[in-house]
Amino acid sequence: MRRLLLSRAAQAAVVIALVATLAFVLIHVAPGDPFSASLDDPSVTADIRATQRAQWGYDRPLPQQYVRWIANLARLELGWSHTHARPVKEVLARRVPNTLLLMATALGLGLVAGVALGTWQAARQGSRSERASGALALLALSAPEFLVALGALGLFAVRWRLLPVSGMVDPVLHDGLSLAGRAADVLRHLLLPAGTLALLTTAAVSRFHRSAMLAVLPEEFVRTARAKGVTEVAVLVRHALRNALGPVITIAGLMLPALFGGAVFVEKIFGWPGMGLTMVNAVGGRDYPLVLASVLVGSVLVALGGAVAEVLAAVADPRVRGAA
Amino acid sequence: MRLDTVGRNARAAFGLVSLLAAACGEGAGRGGTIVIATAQDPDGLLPATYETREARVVGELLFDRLAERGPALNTVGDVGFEPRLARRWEWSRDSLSVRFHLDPRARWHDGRPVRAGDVRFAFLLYTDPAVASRLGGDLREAMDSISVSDSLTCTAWFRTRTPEQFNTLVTTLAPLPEHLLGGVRRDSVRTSAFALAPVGSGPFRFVKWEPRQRLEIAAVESFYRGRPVLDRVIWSYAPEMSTLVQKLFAGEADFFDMVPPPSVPEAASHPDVRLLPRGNFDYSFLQLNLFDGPSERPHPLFADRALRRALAMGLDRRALVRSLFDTLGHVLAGPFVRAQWSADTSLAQLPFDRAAAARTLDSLGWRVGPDGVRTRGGRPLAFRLLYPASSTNRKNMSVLIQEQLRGLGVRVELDGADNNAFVARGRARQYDAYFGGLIATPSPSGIRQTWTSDAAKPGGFNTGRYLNTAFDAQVDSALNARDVASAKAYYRAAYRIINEDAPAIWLYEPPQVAGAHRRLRTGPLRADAWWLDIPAWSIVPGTRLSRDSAAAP
Repeated sequence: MRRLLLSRAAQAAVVIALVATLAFVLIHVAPGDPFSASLDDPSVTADIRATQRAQWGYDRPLPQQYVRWIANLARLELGWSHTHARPVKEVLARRVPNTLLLMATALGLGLVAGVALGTWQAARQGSRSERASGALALLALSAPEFLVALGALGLFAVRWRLLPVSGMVDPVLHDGLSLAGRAADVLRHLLLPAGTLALLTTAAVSRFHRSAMLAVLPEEFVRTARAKGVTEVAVLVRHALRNALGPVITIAGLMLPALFGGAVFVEKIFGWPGMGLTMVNAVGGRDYPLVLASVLVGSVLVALGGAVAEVLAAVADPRVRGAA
Repeated sequence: MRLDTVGRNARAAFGLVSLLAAACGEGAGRGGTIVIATAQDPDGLLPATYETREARVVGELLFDRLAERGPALNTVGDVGFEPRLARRWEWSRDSLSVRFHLDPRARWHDGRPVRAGDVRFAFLLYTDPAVASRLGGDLREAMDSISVSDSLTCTAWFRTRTPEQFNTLVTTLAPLPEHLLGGVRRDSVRTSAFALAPVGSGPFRFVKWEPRQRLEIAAVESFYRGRPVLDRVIWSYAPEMSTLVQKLFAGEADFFDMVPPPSVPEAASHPDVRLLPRGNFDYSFLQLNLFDGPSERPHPLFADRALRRALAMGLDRRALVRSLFDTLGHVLAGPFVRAQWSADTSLAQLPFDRAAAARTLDSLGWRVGPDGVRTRGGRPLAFRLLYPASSTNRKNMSVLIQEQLRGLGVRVELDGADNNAFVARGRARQYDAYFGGLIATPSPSGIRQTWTSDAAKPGGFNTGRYLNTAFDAQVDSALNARDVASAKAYYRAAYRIINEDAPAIWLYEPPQVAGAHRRLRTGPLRADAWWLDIPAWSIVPGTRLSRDSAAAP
């Protein structure tokens, strides 16, 4: 296991260095710079733009900028976000927890519900209820994310006014609430975006897990358990489920980067201040420091997610452990 | 020549404004919190360095200027300007200086008095090249210096007399607190703590700013011009336009300044929302490159004035605008917007006449080929139209233009680019036709930076390189005219020349419609800066919500 971890860590370090370098080159060769928007403003003269670029060092040769970026990175200086008018560290410190809250809630709910639904569908294979739930899952999976989000927004926030339209907190009342009140306020705002994402995750996971369960249920050890008189629930949960978790664990590992990356459409429609939209805006605004810091953190999480998935799969399935 | 003196009129106006604000406050009931929906965050809150409209909206409520343009939006002389930090001013006999007398009651939000030294300090900061202020250039060009006579009196010295010198000074310069900013390095003032949490002199004080979430300001209780009626104003951010509209419909927001045209019918029928059309300073046009890309060779098509005119006449601009904006948009009549004092919508324009346009193209040798596209000497009458793919309006209108010109035998290849690439290619002159959009100001003098020969130099904004000395001369005369009537006549002559030359096809002024919750009392919205009247806004009695009683921190 230690060898597996060390080998994955070394691979991850190389991948992260490559991704960061590639991102640096690509964002700098793309047309424009953080001050491109001012090109559309006749009052911003060439001199002003030149001064602005010089102040941030964007007038220097690319290799020199790269070395400077690496040196700053070594000192954990991530720079200034031009799109947020804040230090990048501060932007990440505010955005990453928001994204983690949204995505962890959504993925957690989605995984649990998806596994439960997939297990239930496998146990009732061929029944009318299984076919109906399968069709519903497929429908949810096929529907574009933004359509589901807009539908939920229209019904729950606008028509029935049960939940807030957008944001993460009430812009007026939040600060004056008690701690419990603030938590409840965040929860109210979380329900629609997290619910939308959870619905889609549930649908996807249930499809995978149903197939995995159907592959495991005819196995001999399941038949043996049944022959020994183990209850059907215990057969499903204790024996079949654990052996069918491999694909779900792999999916969960692959979803780990999304915990950081967020969900652009859902964040946009519900105004959730997460990393997904932040990164899209940063790329659009050529906010070099924020883009690079986000890519760096994102690639670390991708590597970490892959490693965690491998380890979990090894823990869950002795055959995988043996192969490693 | 001596410019107008504001004196008595200004004091009268000041008194009237104060009385109105006070009366409004008493009538409607003081207090309340309003939420303004917004899609964009400010890019900072320091008036010397911010560049976006969103920053202006907040910044101009936090910082008072010496004087403010009146509702007539005059920019010549000081007629109609209303006192702010300066309660009066007087001109020197040669009009090369103006002495401002500051209101002794004015205070920074930390309680320190606003002093004449703060005015001079702000001028030095704005014009310091290290600050790289986009406003500094105008100030440097117009002004020599600001001197201080005593703590409440300062004199602004102009380099030359120009009709808009007063407008340039007072609408550009916001006095800044020297005691708080004096120690900040000029090249890092943009990223200073002050720029993110400023201490101003305006009717509202800064409370809190969580980027891309919310920004809050609160009324200054002892504001020298009278306390604002509302307690708090909070901007609530959402990136999606449809979400912003829904916030207004659901009552989560009280005001949204830019209801998109597709949502206007729904908003108009919503029981809780009223629509407030407002003036507009944006305009869009199709700029034709008179040269072959960035080269010095004439453009194979657009160097020909007759062909440009034919294309302009071949487009039914009224139908285009109606298709896009229904009855809300306006056909652009020239390189100006209707809200500018120089505007003349009765100006003769190239009419829509497809038959005449076709005849002109025929006479120029462009004959319709078997595929419906005109050719001359084997060359098709075709060009690429560069537009920003992120702008739905411009994208849709590009398609409509393509279709209309197809009927004339002209092939238009649409070239959508991401905004950065679009702007960069435009400034580098790498286009045939460029779907430009500009935000004008109440002063029509911006035309010098956009359409004159001077602006056609490298780095200038006249990237299509329209060159006409007669036009330049009229603009120059307008810029130096001593009274509004003469300036108007010169501008009108300049507009007539450029319209006849058709270096661009003037397309539209997009509609600007704000939406307000019925509980909010706003009055008419100013065309140039609707936010300046927020201190007089109020909540209609009997419509208060729980958020109105929440105390400001």
